This record gives sequence, C-alpha cells and structure tokens, in this order.
Amino acid sequence: MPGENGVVATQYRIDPSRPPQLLAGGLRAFSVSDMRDRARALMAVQTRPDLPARPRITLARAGPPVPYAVLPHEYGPGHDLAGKPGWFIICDALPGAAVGPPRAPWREQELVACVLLPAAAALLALQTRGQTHRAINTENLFREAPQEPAILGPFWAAPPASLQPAIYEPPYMARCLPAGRGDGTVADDVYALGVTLLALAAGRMPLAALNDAAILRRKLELGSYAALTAEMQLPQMISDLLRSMLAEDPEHRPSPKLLLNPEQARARRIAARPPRRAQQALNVGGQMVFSARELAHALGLRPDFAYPLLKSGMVEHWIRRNLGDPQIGMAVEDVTRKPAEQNMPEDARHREMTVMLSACAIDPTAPLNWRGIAVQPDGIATALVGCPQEEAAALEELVAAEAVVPYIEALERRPGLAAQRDEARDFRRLLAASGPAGGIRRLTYAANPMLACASPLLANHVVVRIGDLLPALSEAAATSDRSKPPIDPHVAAFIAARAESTVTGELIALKSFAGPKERLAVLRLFGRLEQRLLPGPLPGLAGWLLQSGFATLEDWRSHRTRAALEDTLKQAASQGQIATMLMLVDDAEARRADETGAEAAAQRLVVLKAALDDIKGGEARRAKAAQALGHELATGAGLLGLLGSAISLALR
Amino acid sequence: MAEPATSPRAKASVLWLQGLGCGALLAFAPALAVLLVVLMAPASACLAADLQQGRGTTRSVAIACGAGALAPAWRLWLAGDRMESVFVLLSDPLTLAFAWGGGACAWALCQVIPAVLQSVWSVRETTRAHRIEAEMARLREEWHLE
Repeated sequence: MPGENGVVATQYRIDPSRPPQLLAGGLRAFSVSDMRDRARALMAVQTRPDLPARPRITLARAGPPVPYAVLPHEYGPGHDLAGKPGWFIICDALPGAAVGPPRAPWREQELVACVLLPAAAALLALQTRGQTHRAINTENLFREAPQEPAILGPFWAAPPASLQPAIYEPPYMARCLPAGRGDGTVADDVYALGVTLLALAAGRMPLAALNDAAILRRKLELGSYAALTAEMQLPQMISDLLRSMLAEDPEHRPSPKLLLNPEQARARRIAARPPRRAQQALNVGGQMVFSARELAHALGLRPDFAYPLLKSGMVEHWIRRNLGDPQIGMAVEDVTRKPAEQNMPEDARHREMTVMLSACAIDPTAPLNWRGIAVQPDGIATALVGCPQEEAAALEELVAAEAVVPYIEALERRPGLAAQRDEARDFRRLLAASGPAGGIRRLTYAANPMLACASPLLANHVVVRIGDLLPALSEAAATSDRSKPPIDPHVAAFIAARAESTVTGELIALKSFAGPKERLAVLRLFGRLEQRLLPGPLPGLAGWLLQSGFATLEDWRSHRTRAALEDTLKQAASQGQIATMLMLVDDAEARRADETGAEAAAQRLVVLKAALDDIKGGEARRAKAAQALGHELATGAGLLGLLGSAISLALR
Repeated sequence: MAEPATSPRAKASVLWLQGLGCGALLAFAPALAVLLVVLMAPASACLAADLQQGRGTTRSVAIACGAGALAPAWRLWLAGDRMESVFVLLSDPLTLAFAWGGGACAWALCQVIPAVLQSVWSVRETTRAHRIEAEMARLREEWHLE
C-alpha cells in the first residue's frame, strides 16, 4: 500500500504547485506526473466513496481508441497532498477548461464543428466498444481554445449518469435514483448531447429556474423538445437536429453515425404518432395526469394511491374512455386481473408488482418502479451504494422479489435486457445468504467491483482490490483496538464478494465471529488469503489476530504442547506470517494427536481414581487381612513348636 | 474370601463329639485330663475372651500350649497315668512355664503380627496413593482435565 502523501496508484506524483481541478459533480482532479515517464501530461481523478467508478470502463482499459474522449490508463489507491486517502483513476490531462454554463449563444458552425461532430465520433467509438458515456453536459466538455473541437470529459469515475443534472436525462432516466440510472444506451447519450447543444445554441440553460421534479413534469407534460425549446430562438439546423435528438422514444433518436452527417440527420423524419392527450384529467394522489407517460410516472411515484385506482378499474376506464387507447387499457387490464385469476395473495409485494407492471404497460420506456423509487435494471447495484435507509429497504425488497424478471419479460423487445435476468437471480441469491458475510453488504460489494470497503476497521485506508485489504488491515492495526476482532461484517462481505470461492467457502457459512470454531475459520481465511495474494509480511494484522484471540492455542488440550507452540506462534506473529501461524494452530495431525492424548489421559485418570478410591477405602479390609495373616503365622509358629516337642520326645 | 458356611447341625455334632472325647478322657485317663486342664488353662481363658470369628487367637494359643504340654503328657502316660505324677509334674515350674509361656507367646504373636503387617501395608499403600495422586495432578495439569 502506498503510504506517501501525494503519490497515487503507486507511480504517479501529484503536482503540488497546481491546485486540484473541480470537475462536474464535485469530483477532484489532480495534475500528476508519471515517475517513470515525466513527459506525459496526466491527471488523477479522485472517486467518491459513495459513487464507485464504472468497472466495465475502468477495468477494461484495452480496446479501440476513442477520439475526443478521456479514457482511464491506470487506477489505484493513494493519498492526496494533505495525506487524505482516496481511490484515483489516472487519465490524460484535459486540454483546457470546461466549457461551463453557456453565457452567449454559440454559432451554428461552431456548434457542429466543435461539439456535435467530435461528440458523435466519440459516441460512435464508445458504441463500438459496447460502452456509453452518460455524462455529456456543458460542465464536462473541455477544449483548449475557441474553435478547437471539444473533448468529452471523464465519465468513468462515478456510476453512469449519477452526477448528471436531471435536465440532461430523458424522462425515464431522470425519474430514477441518480445512482440507479444504469449504463443506458447510446440514445441516452444522444439525448444529453442534444440538451448540451440546445444550451450552447441558446446561450443559457433551459428551464434554469425549475427544480428537477418540475423539469421532469414539464417534459412529461409537453414532451422534451417542446419543454426545453419553449421561447428559444434556435438556428434552424440545430432545431431540426434537436427535434429528433430529444425524441421521447430512444429508438427515434439518431445514431452517432448519422449525427456525423448533420445534414442527413436533420433531414431524417420519424413518422411518430403524437402522444394522446385526454380532455379530462385523472387524479393520482393529487397529481392530475393527461397523458399515458404522465400516468405511468404518477403511478410509479405514488404506488399507495395507484394500486386502489388500478384494482377499482378507474385507470383502465380512464385510458379507454378519456385517453382513447384501448390497447393500453387492455394491457393494464391483463396486469391487474392476472393475479386474481391465479389466486395470488394480495400482499405488499404483489401490490408493488402490479403497479410496476401497469406502469410498463402504459409507458414502455418506464423505469422499474418500486415503492415510489425508480431504477433501471442495470442500475440496481450502484443504487444500493450509500442510499438512504428507506430507499435501501425498497431496493432490498425489489431484489428479493426478483422484480427485474417480470419487468424484463414485460419489456422483452428492449435489447440487452435478457442478460439481466440471470443477474437478477444472482442478486437474489446473494441477498438471501445469511451471516455477516452475506445479505445486502455482500450483494453491494459483489455487484460493485470498484466499491471500496466501508469497514470502520480500515479507518484511514481506501481498499477496492482484495489484494490491498490485508496490508491495509495490517497498517490499521497500529491505531485499532486490538482486543476487538480484525474482521467485521463489512470486511467479511468484502472478502466474500471479491476473493476466490475456494477461499471464502467457510467464511460464507459463518453466523458470527464469536466461537472458537468461528475464530479458527477467520484465521484460516486470513492465512489462505495471505497464501494466495502474497502481500508480504503483515506484522500488524498477525499481532492483531494473536491479541484478539483469533490465533489462539487455548483449545489445545496438552499444556506442554501448547507451551512449546506459543513461542513459535509469537515469533511468527512478530514476523507477520499469518500462514505460518495458521499452520501452527491448525495442524490437523498434531491436533489429532493432541485429542488422542487427551482421551488416553482421561481414561488413565479414571483408572487412577479407581485405584486411589480402592486404597482409601481399603483400610478395614487390610486390617482384617493383617489379622488373619497374623493368626496364621502365630498358628504356624505353634505348630512348629508342637512339631519340635514331638521330635524331641521321639529322639529321647 | 467368604468363610465356609458351617451349619448349626454340624456345629452341634462337633460339640457333641468334643464332649464325648472329654468324657472319654475323664473316664479312661483322669490324671491326663487334669494335667491337660491345667496346662491348657491359657487356651481356655483365651477361648472365653476371644470373640473374633474363627477364634484364630484361641487356636494359636491352644496349639502353643499343646506344644508345651506334649512332653509332660508323655511323661505322665509313661508313669502310668497316676494322679500323684500329675502333682509332681505340675510342681515343676518349667512344665507350667513351657506350656503357659508357649501360650503367652502365641497370644503375643497374634497381637503383634497383625499390627506390624497393618503398619507396613499402610505405609506401602500411602506411598502408592501419593504416587497416584501425583500422576493424577500431572495429567490434570497437562491435559486440563477435571
């Protein structure tokens, strides 16, 4: 573990002469130099503990180049100049300052040449790699000088779109928890690029006076294009492009390839039917809705009001009569009547499922709604990180109910969602695992490979990789209370999620760390991890294991053997060799011999006790025997006398 | 070891035979009977005082007295079993000393030998008990046994 201040990811040194740059979403970026190649201009972006980096991009660094975008080169733990620990991702330095909030309208040519074309090229390259950007906004566009093409800023240091203001997201994404928006598709990037172009073309942020909820309502009410461009004077070409780029249906938005030819893209017309609008509103928990999208949104937002409306048939009736869409009405009827036909119990889970599926039936782009919150199926994992307790409970229930499966089945036509079905089942299995190494913690660590371990035992260390855990624990031992265990549910769940299954089998089965068997299992775990990961000597952790009683010889029966092993154990602990300690404590053959010896000793003790009792209780018997023998001897002496007399008489 | 069971009927038979023997002795050799009564007096006294089962002390004393009485009884028999000879023999202090001294020695052996044996055995068993207790303590300490 690098411990030097100002050194990150082992080989990069923060430039102390340049203050950190604040990126979109509050991320800090430090100017760094590679200690092996000082010529490279590099930057280290510090991730936030509650927003893990995107693993698919950060871990898979190889791939076709992406022009006009910043990609990560390296990552690792480190300390900033003040000594504060963090997790850093190294990338090329940004060419200049961020474009920032627009202050004056950009010219059409500049917009196309400096923003649209470079961004489309970047999105096309990302699409080739099977990735999305999900962080396109004016704050995350950088360029060296005016008239220079803009570069798309870092997008991998936080979950997709988690730091994106809601205005840049299509309604079905803006409705979701920020960390639960998922990777999305390139169409969502095109939407964000459209909003960016709009803001730059207009010279101001649209709907700047409204909060996120109001912006979303406005978009649902009027449609994104109408809501965002209202009262704006835009160049005709940009206006034409935005009409398709801000389309409500992602399939109606132009592809990056098409955007590379703006003239062709603006000429593209989608024959989409305008959404139906009812003359008479439906009241859903105080919210008046006029369209299908508004209705789906309101149902998901207020499931407590939505379910009675759905069960009473009011929603279906309103859709058929007022909205005039019998197809959607029929789909809602299918969802609401199906459980009754199948005699399913009307519990809370069923109510949430009904509302969620009804919203899907009404609006095919609707996110996964559950107890008032919304997420995308591939955003559940990231949404679990650091969310408030109420949202965490809803997400936990959503995972336990495998709500993703019926959601995906309802939206089968969406590409790429089928693979998430297996993931949903894996999530439920992980959540169902009990014990300190199971449950929601393990699920969170397993589903977020770039999430740092949140254990308080690692107070001053950021541990993302399993290989960094043991050294961090060993260093943390210096300031920890060594009478307490060196493992807690967070560390256990982290290991269970990140280490090989051959190492974690015993850990997963543990219910606590209290008993002697459990403590031995923990020692085995650390010993095997040390053997696998080879982190070097770990004197801190080894001493901690010894002092907290996890490496103990207490359960050895033979005092002599224990005394002999204790010295060796202390020596191994001082040298930081946990595997050696494990070999001493957990030597199966020696333990068997110890047990056999103990059993033999117990049997011998029984025999000796019986002999002692016999001695103590045999006084009377001995007295009787002594008397009998004394009499016999006296009689014998008398008989000898008698014989002597007889012989002397005979010899006379 | 269990004592051989002797039935009351067998005991009565033995007593009857003893009485018959004594009667026969008195009838056919009264002088010898008197001599034996005097010389065997310690055995009779012991018989009266010995309450132990089997009367081992009485038996020992009787045999020892008998050993002392054998020579005088032989001499009396050779002298013709006369009453005067009985008095002559009994007036010799050595005759009484041998018979009664033998009985006394037998009685003393019956008292001393068991006591000595018991002491020796007790010491031996105490030593053994200490050895066992030491081994038990060692096992308990070594193996944490209760």
